[in-house]
Amino acid sequence: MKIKRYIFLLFIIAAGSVILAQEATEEPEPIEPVMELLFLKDTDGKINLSASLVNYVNRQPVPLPGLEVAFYAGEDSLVSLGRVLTDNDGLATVVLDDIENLPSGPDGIRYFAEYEGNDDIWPAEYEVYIMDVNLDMKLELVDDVKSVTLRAWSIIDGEEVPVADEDIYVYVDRMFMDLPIGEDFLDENGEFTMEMPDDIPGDPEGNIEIIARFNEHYLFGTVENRQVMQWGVPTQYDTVAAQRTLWTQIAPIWMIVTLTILLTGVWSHYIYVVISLFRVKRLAKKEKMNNLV
Amino acid sequence: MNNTELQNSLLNKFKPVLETTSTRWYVTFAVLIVVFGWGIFGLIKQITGGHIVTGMRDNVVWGVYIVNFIFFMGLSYAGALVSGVLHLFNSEWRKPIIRMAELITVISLIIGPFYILFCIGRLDRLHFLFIHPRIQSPISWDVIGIVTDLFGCFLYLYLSFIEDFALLRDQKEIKLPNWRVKIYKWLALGYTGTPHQKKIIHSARTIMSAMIIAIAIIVYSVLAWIFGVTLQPGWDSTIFGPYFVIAAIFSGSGLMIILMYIFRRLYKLEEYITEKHFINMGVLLLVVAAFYGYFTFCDYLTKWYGSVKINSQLIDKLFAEFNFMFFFANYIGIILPIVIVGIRRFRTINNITMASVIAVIALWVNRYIIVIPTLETPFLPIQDSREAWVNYTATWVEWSLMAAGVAIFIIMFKLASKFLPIISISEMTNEDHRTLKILE
Repeated sequence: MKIKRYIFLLFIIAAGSVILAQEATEEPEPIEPVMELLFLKDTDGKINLSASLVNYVNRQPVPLPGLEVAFYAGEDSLVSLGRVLTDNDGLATVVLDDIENLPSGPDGIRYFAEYEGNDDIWPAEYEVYIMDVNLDMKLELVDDVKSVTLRAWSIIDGEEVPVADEDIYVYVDRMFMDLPIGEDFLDENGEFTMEMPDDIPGDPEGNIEIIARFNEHYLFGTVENRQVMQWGVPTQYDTVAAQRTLWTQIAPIWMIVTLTILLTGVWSHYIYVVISLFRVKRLAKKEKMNNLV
Repeated sequence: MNNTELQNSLLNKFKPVLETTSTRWYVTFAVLIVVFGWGIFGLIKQITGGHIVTGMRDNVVWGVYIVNFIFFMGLSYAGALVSGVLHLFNSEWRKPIIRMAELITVISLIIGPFYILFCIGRLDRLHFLFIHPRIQSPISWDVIGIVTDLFGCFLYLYLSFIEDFALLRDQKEIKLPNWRVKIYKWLALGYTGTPHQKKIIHSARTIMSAMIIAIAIIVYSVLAWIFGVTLQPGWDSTIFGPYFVIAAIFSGSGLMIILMYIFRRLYKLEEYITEKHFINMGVLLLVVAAFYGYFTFCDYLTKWYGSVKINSQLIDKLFAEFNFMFFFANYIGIILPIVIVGIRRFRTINNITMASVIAVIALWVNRYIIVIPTLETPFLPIQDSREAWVNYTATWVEWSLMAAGVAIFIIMFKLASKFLPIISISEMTNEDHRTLKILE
């Protein structure tokens, strides 16, 4: 009976080992990366082209750092914009100061990013067509009302053409994310005007950064204009010294009292016990003396 | 001092151990020294190479060292609690095993704080803890607590040894080297067993047992508060103090049973450490396991039910990446001792010892899953960090120093049991008619 049990146990162990060994020797599948190309035109008119490379594990994106991404513009004859390694977030970014000389078609400029792949990671590519637009933001006080006026236009055949009926957003920069304060469609002149709220907390001088933005627009990508104005409520962020902090000069009184009582109680007993030990020794000496006498 | 019959019988029992040293003793000692030496080699690597040789990084700044610190301190406080309570309530069955509890207390308390030193990056600033203590900091409470506890435990241990020192000083049966007799003589403080001396020692021991129970509870609670007062997920809990104390008693009683088993076998003490002792300690283990399981359930239930995002992330992590450890520490480690001791059929010495081994290992794992997953679950997403910085894996240096800690624990126990009988002879002979009942 016992032998049968051992044989069964050995069989289980052997079967388990074989399965584990098979699993261990299986070649891992190459990673299938997912690429995305993000376009941002900033206040100075510079273009930030960012390619993100991620691998989806359990439907969660895991960045792929250290991979070389090549950026191009154009359709048939590609213009190289640069080659950049992805950072720890899996992002590779090129900054273009000027795009006037890039080949443009009826749908705008074609931007193209490519990762060539290797033995472990498959190749990936992504393209976007972006129409170049300009976004202007005018901040002015009109009869004590803080007014934000936006104007968007594109240059077609050397002429300014207003961008009409497109959705545009206005934000204020905050610590964790932008605070939306306005959204509307541009009118036929490519313009939008809104009144700025009065109650937005700013820095100690009342400065806030106002952002006008086409937000990942299907034609223009992300185009933004940022300006700092003293339109916020001046806010002092230095809080009054908190009572319970590790850097206060002295501990709370209750803590000092409790600790003193505890330590005095314990150590006084220790002292009593140590004195008792001396008493034992003294008694021994006394007894020795008595025996001698 | 006049020896009783039982006293002489015990002295004879321990005569070979105290008088001679076997080859097996030397071999195991040498093996332990090699393990300890390997740990020292790892420590030298760490000191010369810096903490980069460990798995600790910016995000997970505490690793196996802190786990070992909590674990050893827990064993120490449990030893103190068990021996203190048994002495204070004058439990007759305690007598053959109380010395083991006392030794666990002191030896663990010596080893535990070393792991803090291994963890500290700037040891050159260690003295700042003493010259610039900040009363508001739980770290300062811990330093004060450990120093107070260490002194108290040494005093308590010494008090329980005095009568045995005197006994060994006066006995003529065992041939001991002169230097050892001199040490016994010096440590015995001239104790001759007069009623007055006995009364003083008894009163001092009673005071110290009450003291070390209180200190053990306070100091281990302080250790728990180092975690509990922070706002970290998994740590910020009001029950961490009592939870840690119960967990400590759980591991301590487990270790007691393991040591009882080892010394019983090693020194052939079957007539002194009987099945009754194992069952009594097993029942203690069962009761504490039930409480420990209850606290664990309460802690995780409230965290899970609250659905605070960061707590949910932590619990998800525990059930995913740490699922085996979580299952082992919080299911097997609790249920198995309860089943083995709870069902009469399974309640044998071997089974109780096996349950204790599992309980002790499970408790260590429990400490691991308290420390590491929390540090791997920060409030803000970790940016621009390498994978190895976010997820902790202990290196060979850390494992070596852990093995060295276990080795030195055994070495100290071996040396202590060579120097003094592992059963308190004086305890066994004081109240002869009641003590003899143990042998019946």
